Amino acid sequence: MDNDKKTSADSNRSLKRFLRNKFNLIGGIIILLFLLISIFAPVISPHPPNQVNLKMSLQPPSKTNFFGTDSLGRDVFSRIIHGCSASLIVGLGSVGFSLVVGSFLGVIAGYFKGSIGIVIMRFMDALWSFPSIILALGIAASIGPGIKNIIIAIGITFIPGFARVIYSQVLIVREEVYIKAIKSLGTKTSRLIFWHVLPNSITPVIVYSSLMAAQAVIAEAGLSFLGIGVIPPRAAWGNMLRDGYIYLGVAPWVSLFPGAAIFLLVLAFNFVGDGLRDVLDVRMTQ
Amino acid sequence: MSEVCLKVNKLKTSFSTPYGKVTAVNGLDLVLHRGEVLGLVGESGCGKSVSALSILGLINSPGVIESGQILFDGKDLLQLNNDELRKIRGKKISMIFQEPTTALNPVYKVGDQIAEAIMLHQKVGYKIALKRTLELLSLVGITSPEIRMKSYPYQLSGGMCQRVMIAMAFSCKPEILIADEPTTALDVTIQAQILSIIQKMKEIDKTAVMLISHDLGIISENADRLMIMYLGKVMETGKVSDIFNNPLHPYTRGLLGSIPKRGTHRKYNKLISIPGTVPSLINMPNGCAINNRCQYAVPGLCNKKEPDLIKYEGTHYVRCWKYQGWDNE
Amino acid sequence: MFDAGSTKDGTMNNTPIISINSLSKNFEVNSSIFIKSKMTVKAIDNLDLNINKGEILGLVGESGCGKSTLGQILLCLEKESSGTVNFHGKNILKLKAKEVRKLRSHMQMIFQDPFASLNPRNTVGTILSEPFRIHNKNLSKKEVDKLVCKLLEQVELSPDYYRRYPHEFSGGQRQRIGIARALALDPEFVVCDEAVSALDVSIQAQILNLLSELQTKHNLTYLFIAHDFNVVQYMSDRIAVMYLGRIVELVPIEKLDKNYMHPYTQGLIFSTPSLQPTNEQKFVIKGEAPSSVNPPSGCHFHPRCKYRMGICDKAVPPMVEVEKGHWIKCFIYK
Repeated sequence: MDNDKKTSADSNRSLKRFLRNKFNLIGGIIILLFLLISIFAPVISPHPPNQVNLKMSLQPPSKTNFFGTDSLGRDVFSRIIHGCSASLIVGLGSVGFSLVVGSFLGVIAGYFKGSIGIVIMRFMDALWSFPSIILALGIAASIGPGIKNIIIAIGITFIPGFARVIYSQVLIVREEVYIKAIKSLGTKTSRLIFWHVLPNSITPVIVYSSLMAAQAVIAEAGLSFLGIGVIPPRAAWGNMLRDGYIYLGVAPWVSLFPGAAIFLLVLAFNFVGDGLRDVLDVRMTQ
Repeated sequence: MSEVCLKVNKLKTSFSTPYGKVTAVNGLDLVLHRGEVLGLVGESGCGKSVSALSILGLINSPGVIESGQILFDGKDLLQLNNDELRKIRGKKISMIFQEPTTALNPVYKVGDQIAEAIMLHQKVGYKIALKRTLELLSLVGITSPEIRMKSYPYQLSGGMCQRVMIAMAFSCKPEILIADEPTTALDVTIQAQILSIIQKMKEIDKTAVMLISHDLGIISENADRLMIMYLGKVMETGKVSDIFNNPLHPYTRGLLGSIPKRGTHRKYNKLISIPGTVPSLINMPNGCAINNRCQYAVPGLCNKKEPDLIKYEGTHYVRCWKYQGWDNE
Repeated sequence: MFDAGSTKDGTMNNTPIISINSLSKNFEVNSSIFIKSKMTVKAIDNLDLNINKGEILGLVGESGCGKSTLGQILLCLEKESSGTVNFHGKNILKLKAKEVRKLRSHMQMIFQDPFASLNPRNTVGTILSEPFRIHNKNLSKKEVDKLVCKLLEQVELSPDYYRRYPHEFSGGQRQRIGIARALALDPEFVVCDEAVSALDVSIQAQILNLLSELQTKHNLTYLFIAHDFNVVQYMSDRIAVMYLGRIVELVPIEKLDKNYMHPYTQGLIFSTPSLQPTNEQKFVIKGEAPSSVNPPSGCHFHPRCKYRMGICDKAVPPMVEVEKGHWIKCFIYK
């Protein structure tokens, strides 16, 4: 059967529905823009991001430096462009990491309830009861800074949230009649869980993950701000924010523009979140 | 025939959906007499519930009553504002719903809920309202009403809750009771009890009852007249005895043939079913609404032009080309 | 076994395909989170029943009487509390998970709600090929597709529907898909759990006709569970009437006689609306079905029974064979 044809027609319809909502459209465009920026950063940035020029330190925005320069005379605009990839990678990467691990734990806990479920969920509760930024701080401090480690650190703090969301969803879905019907056909448990229960429980998680992506961008900024995020001199919006913080009175642009970029990306993720839910529901494809 | 208490003319109610406008009730004419039970029957999507909600002015956006008249007490209900409607709702026209447990507010005692309805419309104090509540509850067959009126809805069974709803609906001696599938959620033995209570209450207050149901059996046992609806239109209407003894419309015949009758068995009597499925209101067929499922449909007529609801004899009306004359072009 | 081979119908094979022996199912209900007092709901109370090959056994009763639980235990979808269920002489309640999975190809279920029993995310093709994917792994994709199309035809649906999702169908069509799925593996025994009660009347008739045709064609055995007495009586060869976890009457359809039955069955029949308005006085059963948490002593029906005698609240009446194949659990007939 040429199922591909059907699938592409389906996704076309979904996309149309997604774009019908203005907020989705705006959010989608912003994220797409940031994606393009991070891919073509070397081409579009007017200056090398790490070019130090102490003579030009803390210059206000001008024709040559659209967003001004920082204390080391680096061009803020170019650094924002180069920092974009770090923020996106951390935002999407940490969410992807916690989505996979959290969903797995949540679906297992929800399907088997009983002692397995109790052990998993109590562990999640314990993890959750920790203030997340301190937890991330602890993890990042113990495994060292760097993008990969930040993703793991932030990802771990997000796992309980994902596990909880999917757990509660699985508890509902596992009682659905169609699950019983499929079980009565003699389906293997693993197939039942990952092929039937999981896809029917995932929608709220996807919506949740877009919100958490926004959180991750903020968390990255926070960790970088505290000095255990992306290793300088590599540009990231978070460490740029920290660099400018001391000069907030004299040169507000140094931290203002990275702040605005973070704000925009977080907003875009939030916009997209609501739209995703509609798109992911097959029942609405008619 | 006794006095008319409600008259509906050419009622049209539609809903706007993302897929286009849907006309749920399309040109409904209806007369309700004092003290009678009018049955509204039909399959899902035929517009029987929407008709009832339209009468009470309970159609919410995206639904809208496009045209028509609902004459009650010399006034057109569609012209009244919300305040005036509220005075009629619950007092002169009341309604009971399919899900009695969800129709009651879970955080208040059932006795207080009935008393509130009484105080709202009758300008009496709490003590008198409670006394009247007690009478009503025993009237609807609730044993030890003094205790029951202090219960919360979750403490009562579905049948009990429906009794409470009936008591509430009759608390102001309404002229009209609209019962929308009042027993669908209940067991048969309870259903029989509830229906006989509705009959009894109707006798006491000479209320006109509009009984909405998908079950022709309930209608045949409880209604005086009935209207058979399909896709927002009345297909056949008349006295219960006329329609059950002499069903005219192919749809009515199909419905009657679809129901397993007492004493029949699959080995000897195959059910006469109506082929196909009820179309969605978005893809309404042209011409007669049922023509694509009707074995008598005449191509070129039934799928082109819609027949009128015409008089067969007495109060028996039918909407079918077969009775309007095939050559009536 | 009180009803083994007792149906005297020449056309019927009287070997039991399923025999249920003293089956009980208790649900534990916590009365409160703080106090550790558990209440027991006896959903099925020491039940004995045989289902013969090729028959349609109707199981009728009000909500909460345990009829659906019984169907689910027979298909190992619920765990029993005690008792045995023999399928072709072998107790299926003691099987290992793997053996239960194998058994599924012999026993299937048609569910009540056609809107809830199909996975909304799968196409009809995927839903119907699932049974083959599980049980006949060596079939090629093409062969499976062919079988699925054949199934669709069998339930009078167009094979073009292969790629559609359940939400694109009406209730009746969905129920046909549910039936097709249940019949995919050529089962011997099918539990129809309220299979038509969610459907519109005109559609209900179509599905009843279809179920009836398929039964004759494939010589299937049905346990036909429903709450509507008229429907059960139309479909079944024998009727079992259930009240609060017990079967109170078991009657071959040709012996159904309103003057000679359990008082509850009588009330059930008279409460069911019929199309033939009769002049006979409607006999309404008083009161409500008591909770199965704390069922009445003796005969569960005695508080609502108009024929109750002194003994009714003291002892459980035995099942008595009042005539060949017709069993009643009531002291009147003792």
